[in-house]
Amino acid sequence: MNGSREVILGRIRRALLRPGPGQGQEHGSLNGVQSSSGRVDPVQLFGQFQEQSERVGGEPRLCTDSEEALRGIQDLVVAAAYRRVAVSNHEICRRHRLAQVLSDLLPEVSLWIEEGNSDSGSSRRRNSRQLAQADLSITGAEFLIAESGTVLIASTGSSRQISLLPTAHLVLATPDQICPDLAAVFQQLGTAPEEGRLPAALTMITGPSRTADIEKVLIKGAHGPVRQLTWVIGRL
Amino acid sequence: MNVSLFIPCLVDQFFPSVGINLVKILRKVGVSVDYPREQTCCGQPAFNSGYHEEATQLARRFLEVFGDAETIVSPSGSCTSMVKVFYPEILQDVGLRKSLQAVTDRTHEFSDFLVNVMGIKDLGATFPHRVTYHDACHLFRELGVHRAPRELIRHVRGIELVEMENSDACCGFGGTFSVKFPEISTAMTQDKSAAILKTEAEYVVANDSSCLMQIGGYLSRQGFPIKPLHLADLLGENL
Amino acid sequence: MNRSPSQFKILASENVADQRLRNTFQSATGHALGQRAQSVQLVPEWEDLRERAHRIKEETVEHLDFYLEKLEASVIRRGGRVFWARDASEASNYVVNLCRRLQAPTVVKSKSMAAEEIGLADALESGGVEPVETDLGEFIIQVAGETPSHIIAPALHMTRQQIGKLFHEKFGIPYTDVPAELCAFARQRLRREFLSARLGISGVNFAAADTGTIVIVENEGNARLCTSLPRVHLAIMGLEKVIPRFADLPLFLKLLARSSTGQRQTSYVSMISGPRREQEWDGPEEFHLILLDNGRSDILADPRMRRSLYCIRCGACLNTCPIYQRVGGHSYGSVYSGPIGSVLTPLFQGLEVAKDLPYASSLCGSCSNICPVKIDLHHQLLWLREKLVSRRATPWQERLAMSLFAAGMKDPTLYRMGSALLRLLLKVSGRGNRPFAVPGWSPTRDFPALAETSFKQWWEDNRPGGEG
Ligand code: SF4
Repeated sequence: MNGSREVILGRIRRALLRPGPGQGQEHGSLNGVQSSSGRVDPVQLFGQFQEQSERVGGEPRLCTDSEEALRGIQDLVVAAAYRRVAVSNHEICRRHRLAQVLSDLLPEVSLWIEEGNSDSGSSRRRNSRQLAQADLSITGAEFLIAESGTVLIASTGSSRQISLLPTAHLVLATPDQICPDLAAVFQQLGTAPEEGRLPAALTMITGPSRTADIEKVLIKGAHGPVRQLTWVIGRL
Repeated sequence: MNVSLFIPCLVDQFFPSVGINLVKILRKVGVSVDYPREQTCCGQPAFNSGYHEEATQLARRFLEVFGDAETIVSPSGSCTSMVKVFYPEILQDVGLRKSLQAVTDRTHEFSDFLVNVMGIKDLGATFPHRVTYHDACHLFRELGVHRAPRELIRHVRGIELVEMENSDACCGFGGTFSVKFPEISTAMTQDKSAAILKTEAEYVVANDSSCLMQIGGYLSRQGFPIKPLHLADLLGENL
Repeated sequence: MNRSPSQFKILASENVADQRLRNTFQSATGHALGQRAQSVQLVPEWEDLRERAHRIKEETVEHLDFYLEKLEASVIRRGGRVFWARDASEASNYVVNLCRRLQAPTVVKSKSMAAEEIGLADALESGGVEPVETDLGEFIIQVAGETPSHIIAPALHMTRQQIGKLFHEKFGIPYTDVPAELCAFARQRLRREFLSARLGISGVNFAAADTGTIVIVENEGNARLCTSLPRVHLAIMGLEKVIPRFADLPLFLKLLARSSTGQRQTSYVSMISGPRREQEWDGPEEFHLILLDNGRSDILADPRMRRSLYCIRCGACLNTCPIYQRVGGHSYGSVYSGPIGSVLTPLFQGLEVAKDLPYASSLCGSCSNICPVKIDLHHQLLWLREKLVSRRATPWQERLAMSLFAAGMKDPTLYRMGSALLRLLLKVSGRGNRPFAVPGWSPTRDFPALAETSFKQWWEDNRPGGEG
């Protein structure tokens, strides 16, 4: 806080003494966007998610069970000749015992496991350098948004950098995490935002990192991952 | 029904045939036509240049001249929008509110009047030519009129209407803009003309003489044979 | 390259004559408009959303003090710090001092129009700190020593060949004009900066007052890197970026993404509430938010201009503006270009400096029509013109002409007489009604001839007996 605070607020208050075009708007009467639908068929929801994700260059996939997902990861790593794989400590990764299974399945790959809280600055920096070398990272989602093919992740689930620095990013999710649209997600997030339940960073990811800054030519992988994969594990 | 004509100064001085043909059209559809002789200019040139005091004076005059009119019809989307959209912005006096409301409610651009007030689409005109239609900015965006003129054109016998690309892109006139920034204004007309030429139409039709003056002025300077034509002229001349 | 809005006329006529530049802007804006139209088409309630966003912005701006205090309290509650900056130098000084405290020789920066507005990069350099622009477009123009030419696509004016040559000369890499290779080079080079910087600076697209959440919308991921890796994150926002509620975000995000690039969602949307929390993996230890006034409270003081503060910087009005399309962003001599620039620049920098901008519009209205928060942009330009006139800042010849015009038009007899006299003079002078040469008009367009008989005269002559 500083001296200019009062000056600026004073100016604003003086300025607002002159009524504007539409004074007296009822506060809170204009909340957000309504979610477009109530219950939607999960097959349809996943179908929409898949279509939208593919449109923006994402790689969505449905795996009926843990085994299929794990085999899928193995195939992915082998096919793309990934050498370094980072696995987050997200609940879904632990549930499928990714770290252990992958080290058995892919003994030639160097696995990096995100562990504990990297409290000190130096260890975090070390992690950054490790992750910047990784070909693939595997993390978990909080929500998927069908309308736009979007994945929502939280800084409480995994580190921020693990979904950002590696060349490819695979997010694992479950069918019940798919919401029809952004408004539906916000309805779930927003139950009590003032109480500080929001994580410090919520990030929505829609397809791979991209840019069109050079002559409007679309390029994938500007600063973030070149590939964005989203796998939903479970039966619809 | 009694219609009072509101003839913009540009039409009065440079393109009187537009007014004359409008009279012809209105008589044909059976309304009685009057021309309040005291009218001059709606004030738009002053208003658009920022001279709101001068514009306000002319707006007040307009209300005096047309205050008692049953219906006001004009062959210009631009001047009509001055009355309907911008008068309420500059005439804030409470005393004028009622007469202002009355006048703005009763003022119509002519194609809008014919199609949406009178319910007439076919005037019985014949014009065996290929034409393209330019959406004048004020008519299109301030007044939201774009279907009515096309309906009128489509019902002309023998006519072929070819849509141009970006028919609602500005022609580049913009009043004093056209002489304050001649290079930009000309560049806009150049692109507009290219779109028009691509249709291979013989005529470019619009409902505002100012756009036609801009487009036509450029086309004729370039020596292109395509001719500008006000919709009132198209309809009135060929009844 | 320092351009001033006072040079608009010169710059614009130069740029409009540059056919290459004109093609670049026309095809890029055309592309963006096409994408936008496609995605908006899929939202049947679009007009409704615009209206609601307009009303929420109205609500916010009309109670700006309330929402800013609320935002401040929420940010502090989340462990962040808030700094109120009256002007550019207060804001810049705060950042420079922060760099000193952090002993940060470099900072990584993502795109922020507010930072551009206050010239933060220059201020940092004078303060001995190297600002590294990390948005690809911003990086390119920083290396070129240029300024942004579009608020969404800063390097829109440059060709791939120019960029290739630039990188070749500045960095000694082999020449290439393949966009993907140029991008890959920038990615690799900037990674180093991200990994070592102690301070990351970002802009703010929206700031929710109830939760203290700032939202950053982007496609490249550089803003995520700027806000995730360095030890400290500083965000800078114009006062008007505040919105009442976190729950308003779906609405604004929908409007912004579709209006600016035609995307349903940009690749990344970061919603940041304060610094890293204890149980979290990583993220900055400190979060600073600069609330920048820099002339905004003055804009607020004029109720007619207030709506210009609703802007969410989507760039759609630039894309649709027939003037912007032909003269490009640099003609405006300011970081804000296009219709919103023509409104904001005179308000920020003074009407006298930016006299031409309010007139740099044919008033076609396509800007107001496209604006996702329904700012009446072309009306705002008209009010600015009126301000110029009432300050007597227009040329005396024009003022004289206008008062003569008004006098003539107010008096129908004078009008009639003038019109008759003019025709008489033309007749006796032997000139007839050949068209006049009109300065500014006639070099490129034929001017119509005065009609032999005015409509008024025709009506007099043919006045129907029974009618009227
Ligand atoms: S004025 Fe409206 S259209 Fe222009 S950038 Fe701002 S929000 Fe977008």
